[in-house]
Amino acid sequence: MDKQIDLDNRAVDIEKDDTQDKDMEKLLAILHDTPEVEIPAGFDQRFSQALKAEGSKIREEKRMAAANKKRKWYLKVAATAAACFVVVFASVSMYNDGIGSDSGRIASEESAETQMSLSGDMFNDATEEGASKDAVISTEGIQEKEDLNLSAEQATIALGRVDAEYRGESDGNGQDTGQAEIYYGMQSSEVDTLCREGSKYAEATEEYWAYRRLVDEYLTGYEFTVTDCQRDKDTGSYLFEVHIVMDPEGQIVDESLILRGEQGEIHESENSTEGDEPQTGSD
Amino acid sequence: MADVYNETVLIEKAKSGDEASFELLIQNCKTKAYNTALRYLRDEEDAMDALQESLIKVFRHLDKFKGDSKFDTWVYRIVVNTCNDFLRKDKNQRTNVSFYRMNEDGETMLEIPDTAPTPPEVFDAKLTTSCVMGCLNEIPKEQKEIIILRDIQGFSYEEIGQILNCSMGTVKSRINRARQKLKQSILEQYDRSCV
Repeated sequence: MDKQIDLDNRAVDIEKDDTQDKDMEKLLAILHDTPEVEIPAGFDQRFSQALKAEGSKIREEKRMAAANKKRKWYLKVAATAAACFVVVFASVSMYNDGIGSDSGRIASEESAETQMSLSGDMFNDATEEGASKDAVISTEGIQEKEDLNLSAEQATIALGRVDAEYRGESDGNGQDTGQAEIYYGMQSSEVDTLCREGSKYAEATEEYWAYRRLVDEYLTGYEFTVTDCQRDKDTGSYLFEVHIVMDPEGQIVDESLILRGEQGEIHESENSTEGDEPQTGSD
Repeated sequence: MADVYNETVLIEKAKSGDEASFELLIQNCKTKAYNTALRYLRDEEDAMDALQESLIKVFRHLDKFKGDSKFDTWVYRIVVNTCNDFLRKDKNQRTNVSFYRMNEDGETMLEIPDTAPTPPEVFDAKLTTSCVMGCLNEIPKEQKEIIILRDIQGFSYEEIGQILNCSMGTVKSRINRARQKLKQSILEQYDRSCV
C-alpha cells in the first residue's frame, strides 16, 4: 500500500518536473526567439557626427597636451636657470660681504700675512742678523702663512709695529717713520698696542719707535708681545706692558712685565710683576 | 584569418584617430550591441544614447585595448557597463522626482511607479515576449543581465565571463538561478492577472 503511494508520489513529481522543464523550455524558446531589432535609421548619421566631433576633440586635446608638455619643458629650463642665477648671485653677494667659507679663507690669509710679518720681526730681533726684512718675509713668511697657531692678538700687534719699521728702515726714510700711520687689527676685542695718551691714541713718533727698539733689545732672547703702551703726557715717558711667553732657554714663562722708557733709557717699572728680569738697558 | 588581420589593421588605424576605420571596425558588432542595450533599457532612444556613448568611449579609449579578448567582446562589455550606468541614473531620477509629489492642497503624496506589465500585455497571446521582458525587468539586475546575454543575445559562457568579468562557473550557476527566478516571476504575474 505504502509502495503504491510512493510510486504515485514519484509519478506526480516526475510529472511536475516534466511540466517545469516544459515551462522552462517554453520560456527559453521565447527568449531565444526574441527578434533582433534593427538600429533606427537616423543612428548612423548621428553617430558619425558625434564620432567626428569626438575625433577633433581628441586631436585638440592631444595638441594641447603636446603644447603643454613643450611649455613645461620651457618652464623647467627657465626655472633651472633662475635657480642657478639666484645661487650664483647669493654666492657672489656672500663673497663680497665676507660671509661664509670664502671670508674664512680671506681672514686666514690676512692672519697668515700678519703672522708672516711677526715672524720676520721676531727673527730679526732674536738673531740681529743683517739680512733684509724683505728677504725674511719672502722666505719665512711663506712657511708661516700656513701656520695659524699664533694668536690674533700677537698678529695684530706685530702688524702695526713691523709695518711702521719697514717704512722707516727698509726705505731708509727716517723722517717718514714718525708720520707713518699704523693700522691695527680689525676686531675691537683685540688689544691695541698703539701708544695712548690718556684716553686718546698718540701718533707713532720716532721717539716711540726708538723706545720700542729698546724694549726689543732689552728683552733679547725672550719671546714676548707688547700688549699695551701708554705715554705720560707730562713727563714724556712711555710705559710698555709686555707679555713674556718664553725665556731664552726655551722655558715657558707666561708672565707680564711693565717697562718704562724715559730719558733715552728703558727700565723695569716698579709695578712690574717680574723681579728677576734684566734691570736696565741702554741705547 | 583575413578578418582578424583586417580587424588588427583597422584597430591600429582607429587608434591613430581615423574615424572611418573605426566605423568599419564596429560595423559587425553594432547591431548586437544595440539589441543588448535595448534589452537592458527597454527604450529605443535610451538604447541609442547608450550605444552612442559606448561607442564613443570605445573610440576614445581604444589605446587601452590590449587584445586579451576579442574586440567585439570588449565592446559589449563597455555597452553593458554603460547600460548599467544609465539604469543607475534612471533609478535615481525616479526616486528623486516621482516618489513624492505635492497635490493641489499642498499635501505630500507618495507615488510608487508601477513597472509591472499591464493586463492587456499578459492576456494578449501575441505579446508573450513583452510579458517575459516585463518580468525580466522585475528580477535582480545580475540575473537579468545574464539572461539577456545568454538567452537573448546568445553569447557563450566564456564571452559572458569576459563581459561581466567573472568566472565561467559563476556564469553557469548564476544563469541557472536567473532562469528559475524569471520563471517564478512569470508565474506570479499570471497568478496576479488571474485574480
